[in-house]
Amino acid sequence: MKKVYLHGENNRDVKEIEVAANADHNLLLELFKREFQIAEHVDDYTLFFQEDEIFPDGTEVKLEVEIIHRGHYHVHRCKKIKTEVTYNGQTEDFEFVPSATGNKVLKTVISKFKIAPADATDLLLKVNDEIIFKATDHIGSFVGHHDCKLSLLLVSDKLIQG
Amino acid sequence: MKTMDLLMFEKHISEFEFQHGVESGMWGLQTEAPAITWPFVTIWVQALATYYPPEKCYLRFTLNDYPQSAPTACPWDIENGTILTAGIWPKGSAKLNPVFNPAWNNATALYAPFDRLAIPGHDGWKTQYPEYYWQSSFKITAYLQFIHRLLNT
Repeated sequence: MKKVYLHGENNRDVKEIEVAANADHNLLLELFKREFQIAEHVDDYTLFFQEDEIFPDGTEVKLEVEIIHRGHYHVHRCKKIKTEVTYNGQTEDFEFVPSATGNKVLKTVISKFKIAPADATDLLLKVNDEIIFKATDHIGSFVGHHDCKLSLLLVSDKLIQG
Repeated sequence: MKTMDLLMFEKHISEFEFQHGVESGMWGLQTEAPAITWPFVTIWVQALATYYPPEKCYLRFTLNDYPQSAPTACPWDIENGTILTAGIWPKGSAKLNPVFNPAWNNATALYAPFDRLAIPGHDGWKTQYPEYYWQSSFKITAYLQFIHRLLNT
């Protein structure tokens, strides 16, 4: 048995479960259905590896060699998330798979805005005033399937004063 | 019998977000003697040596009524079991220094919207820092991620 993490559509709870080391695509989908209480339109969901690959139908997880994705999977009805990011009044458009992590999104955004590494250490992605898009979050966890898009703000961490 | 606050804390530290921080070397529970006596828990947070030369800043948390009530924490001298001497608190950046301010409140807590002792008298923080102002839906990792960023940027 191996520990894996399931990330779901428009849901920020990460489910930690144990599966057989030779679990396949169908078993993982069944676990997603159970953990995220998916009862309808099951065929509309796509299973993703963490970051940027669709998990091919019929494929075994092969957890012993599944190091790069660190045992993280995602199901979502969007194949891509259209993402606009605003920084210092400038907005740029991006497209990510739902399983893209905050870490990857932040790196991509910083690169596109041509921000120097020294200036980037203090920057955060925010979904809104109250929610930080953390490094380990999946972008699909903030997005429903109706529009498949998200607006983010790239901001400096705040100075606490009062 | 374990209390609900302890059960919730144990649940949260068993989850991916906290464990990812442990595996990444961002923070960890102090599990050596002296033994943890609830509601007191000591957690270290990794720090840049320029801000804190030992690179592991121990924080002693008080967590009664967690997570309904915000945690409170102060830098902790793990050898002597006391609040860290004021002169060696982490310091060095414009964002770090106000939070790690031993001159505030007799050095008993961090000056931040996550901290139970800092929240009273700062009603404005709720709108000024809505992402940080403690809510009962928050987990200990929210506090730790904020402190880790401060100690590493």
